[in-house]
Amino acid sequence: MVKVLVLRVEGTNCELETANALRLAGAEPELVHINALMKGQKGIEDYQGLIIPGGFSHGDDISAGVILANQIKYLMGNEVRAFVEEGKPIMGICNGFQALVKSWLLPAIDGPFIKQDATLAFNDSGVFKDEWVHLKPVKNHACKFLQDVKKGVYLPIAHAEGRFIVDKETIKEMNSNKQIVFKYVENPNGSVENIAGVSNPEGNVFGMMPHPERFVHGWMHPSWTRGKINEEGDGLQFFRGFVKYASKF
Amino acid sequence: MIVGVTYKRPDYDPIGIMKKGEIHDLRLHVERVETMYVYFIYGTVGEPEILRACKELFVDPITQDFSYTHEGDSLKLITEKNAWLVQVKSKTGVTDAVGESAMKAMALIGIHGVERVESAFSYIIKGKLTESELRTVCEKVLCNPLIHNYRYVRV
Amino acid sequence: MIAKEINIVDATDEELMELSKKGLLSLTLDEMKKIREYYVRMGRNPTDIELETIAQTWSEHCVHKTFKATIKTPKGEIESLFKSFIFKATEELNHPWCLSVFKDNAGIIDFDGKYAIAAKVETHNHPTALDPYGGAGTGSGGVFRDVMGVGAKPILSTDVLFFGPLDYPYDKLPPGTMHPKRLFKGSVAGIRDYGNRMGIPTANGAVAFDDGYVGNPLVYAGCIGIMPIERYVYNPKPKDLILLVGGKTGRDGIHGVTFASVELEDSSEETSSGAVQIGNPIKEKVVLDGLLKARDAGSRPLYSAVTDCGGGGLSSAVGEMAKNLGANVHLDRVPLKYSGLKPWEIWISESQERMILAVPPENKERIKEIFENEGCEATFIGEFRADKRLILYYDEEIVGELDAGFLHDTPAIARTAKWKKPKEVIPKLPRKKKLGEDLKKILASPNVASKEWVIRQYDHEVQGRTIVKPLQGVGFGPGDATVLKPLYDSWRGIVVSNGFNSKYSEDPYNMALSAIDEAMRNNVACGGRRIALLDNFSWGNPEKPEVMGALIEASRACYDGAKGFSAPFISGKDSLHNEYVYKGKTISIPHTLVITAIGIIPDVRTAITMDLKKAGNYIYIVGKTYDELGGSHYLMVNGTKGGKVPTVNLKEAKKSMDALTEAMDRGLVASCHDCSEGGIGVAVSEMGFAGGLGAKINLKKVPLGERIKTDDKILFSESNSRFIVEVSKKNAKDFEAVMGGNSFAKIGEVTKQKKVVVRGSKGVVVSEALSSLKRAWGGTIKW
Repeated sequence: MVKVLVLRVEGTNCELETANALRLAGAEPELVHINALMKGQKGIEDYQGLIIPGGFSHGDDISAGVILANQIKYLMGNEVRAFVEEGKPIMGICNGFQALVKSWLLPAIDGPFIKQDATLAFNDSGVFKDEWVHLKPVKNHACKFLQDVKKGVYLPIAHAEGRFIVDKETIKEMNSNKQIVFKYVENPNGSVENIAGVSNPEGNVFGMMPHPERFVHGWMHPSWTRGKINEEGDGLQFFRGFVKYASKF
Repeated sequence: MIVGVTYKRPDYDPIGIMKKGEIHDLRLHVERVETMYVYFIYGTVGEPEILRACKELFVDPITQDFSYTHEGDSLKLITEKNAWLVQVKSKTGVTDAVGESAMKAMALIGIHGVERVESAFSYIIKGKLTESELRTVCEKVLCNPLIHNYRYVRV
Repeated sequence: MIAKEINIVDATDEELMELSKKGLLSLTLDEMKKIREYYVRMGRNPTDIELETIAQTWSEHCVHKTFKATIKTPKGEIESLFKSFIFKATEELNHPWCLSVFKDNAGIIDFDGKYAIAAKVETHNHPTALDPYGGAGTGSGGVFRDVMGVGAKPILSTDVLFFGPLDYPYDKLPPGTMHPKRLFKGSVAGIRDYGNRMGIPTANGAVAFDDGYVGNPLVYAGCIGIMPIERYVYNPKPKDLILLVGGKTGRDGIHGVTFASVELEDSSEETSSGAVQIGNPIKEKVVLDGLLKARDAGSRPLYSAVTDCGGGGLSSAVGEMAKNLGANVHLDRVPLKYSGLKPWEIWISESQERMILAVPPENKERIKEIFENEGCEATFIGEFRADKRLILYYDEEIVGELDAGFLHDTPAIARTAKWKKPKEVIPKLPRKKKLGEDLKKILASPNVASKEWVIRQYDHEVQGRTIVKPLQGVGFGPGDATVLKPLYDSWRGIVVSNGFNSKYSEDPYNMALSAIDEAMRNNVACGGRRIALLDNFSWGNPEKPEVMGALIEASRACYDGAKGFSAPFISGKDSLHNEYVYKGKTISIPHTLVITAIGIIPDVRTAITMDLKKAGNYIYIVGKTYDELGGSHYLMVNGTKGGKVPTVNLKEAKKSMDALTEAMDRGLVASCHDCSEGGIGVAVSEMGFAGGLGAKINLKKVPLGERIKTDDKILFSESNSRFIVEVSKKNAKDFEAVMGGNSFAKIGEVTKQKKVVVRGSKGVVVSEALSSLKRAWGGTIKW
């Protein structure tokens, strides 16, 4: 069974449903608190994949995900670098995405932990937004474990700081590296070029603001009572792709 | 040391936009409201460490700028002219989660000698307001005098 | 750090009252005299800590004196509203699935034999009036802790809020009060930030507005949790250790509990700054994470009892747990936010995010490690005794000693009540040919209007359990109830709804009965059944006989309603003295009872939503319509009053709700929405724009309970127990067979044309485009 580490810190909230989604996708998820990693009780090198789930790590204090990002850089930096360079998959969802961006692992144009290329700032509406959005995958994107997500997906967002901001040079590079993976059909938060999810140039580190773990079966769809739903929700394929790719390691 | 963090562009500053709207609810008109996050860092931390904390923790390089001073009036970190400057800070004894997190986070990135961190907000208000109107804005929009202390200056 | 001795033994009656007032103890003269008597017997004076503890334990807030009081009425004496009405119904119903009611921090009912549901709703009114963000947020935090306090995991946060009108003129605001808009925005932000940060979906609630709430906002924070039945434990023993987990202790909320029992004056802003609490939800999240791990570690929980540290702080939490045991408490071991706290301040501080556990000594190391691994502070502060003595130490010195028996022998009080039913006034209404404008006015009125601005700030889907969400259909219409699927490996669900209408408060009996009916029908409309209820009263000053009289009427209705619907009360609370005094005038809130209903649905995949599904389907109404416009929105938008407040025919209501549930179980119902404010008119409109489909209905077909002469009354009457049900042509015959014996009728059908068309006695009275109706509904609270 593919072993996936689901990282927890104080304020992580979405770990149970993320672990459930991984189980449905055929993996063996393990919820591990960063304290256990710090104390050496567990090591990420023993896992085939790493997921940083959503939540409000450290209350979003100072800015969303920045303290978790520093925990990753300072407490597990070497292990994470080795993980990334081995090509193993890392997926950050919502708060996890914020942490990957602020720990300089995404978009990471020049490599992991080199510099901060982008940020996820306050929604242009200025408030937390809970709604469902349509996403479209970008053609020929680099993310190695989401190649099988070929059609548009419908997923919920729930965030206050989801506005993806990059400068012109970085976006040019990202486009030429095919690092933009998903775009919003209708931009809910003011993200540059409607960006919803991105990967690193190698395609093994990926992050997005919407929550795939919140749509793994048809009855999680907001209007399932109107009929015409699939038994499987649009979000499950994200985990299947992740697990399939992780199984190589 | 006192660190002040501002946004590079007004459209990155949703709190400023929201506060402007709330001032309009009072039927007072202002042109612009901008925010500054303020961190008071107490202890024996040196300047290079503070700069590192700014780079890695307090300031987002994409959307924010910062300035700092060793001590003195935090409102002097603001260079804007022809405006009202207001600082809002929690009264002693009121939970300052951001300050507590900031202290933990600085220790996390290897910065030692921090005794405590206190957080505050500063507001830059551009517009014609009398002093009495400004006090109304302070007490009805920017803070709750029950749990915050506020002070202001006209520049 | 020595405790102060307070002279009680030699004090005169006047000096006793001065002591109570200056120290914000909120004790009556009788209570002060009882304390004096006790200490005279003891042969000594109390310390400050002992006096504070007694005041806190006996306070209205902690003990609900009014609901337990003996009440003298012109018709005789009533012994305890709680025992005679609310609890009596539950006792008589004696449902086996009620596992623990009115006993512990939260009510507990069975879910599926293996798991149980815990539920609690509480008000946090006075702190919200002082600081809406902190007050409403910590209201949520507190009720989450109540559910955690029985060992359950919170899975839903609910909030029902009441404010003054959003357009209230600033210059008319009583001094020292905040504008309703500020209170509204602040409260929503507080609830949002607490629930979102703790990862608890805030997915059910309501907001209502009325002049009477100016200066007295109401915040009802609720929480539903789930737990394995076998992990419920409450058995503290002598020698068990007292473990304090969570946040540090400061001066937060000192006198918050006794303060809640006092009317606000306009000098409150200066004198009561200690009564405001500020929360840190992440601190509570790590307490929750640690608690669940400690609960599930090994074959049984590592603790023998757990409780929340809320109103009254350690004094209340440890005092309660030590009721039959006694305890040694070392106040110097309590982690403090800052230095300089006196022992009595540590003991009664209401600092947030703290819980108390009783821990058998053999689990000492393991449980501390579990909490610390989650980043949660855990400190042992004492141990339980066997002789009922509660001894408080500071640095090995005794600073207070109390007898648990005396402490919990809360003196009963007496109240007087009188009640006179107000005379019915016939409302003056103009003759109307067309009702479209009135319909739109009602849709736009703040109580009815869309709350999307609020709802989208809350995360409704965290934890992945929310199956029927608050905004429904393609047009995001207002759902009646929320359906959750608590377990990942089971399709069984719970249905949560609420009911209230403070516009009916002039007739408190029918107001309360209507609230129960509304909570029930909101629940049934989504497929809920086997329903449990929670009651929460926010009322004025119970020392006023008419106010007390109204409370009796409402409690009577609670008994009748619970029995009639066979829906027991499992938990409840009250918040009294919601009055604002200035310049000698008193602004009292309308009597406000909020009922929360929790039902079960065997399979969430059969849940029903309110959006119209298919053109050509039939539209039925279930239930009788009466001339009941008392307190209605129709009269309000016409600037007039009068009429009868809607009542409930319990027998018919229960029968038709049971039949409707059966019809839903057989798959015969396409959509369903209850009729409440604005009656049939609003219900059909909401179903229409939620579904993106039109409707045409004929008022002549509506079953009436009495003769109604004009169309407006049929369209806008707010009679209870009514549902609008959409049924496909294919299922119509079977639906009618199941509903046989109840009042119902086919009144129209769903149309492809996006209009709501209503025919009355003399022709078309409403012909409005869905877009126009939705615009009216969506424009009021939009910032």
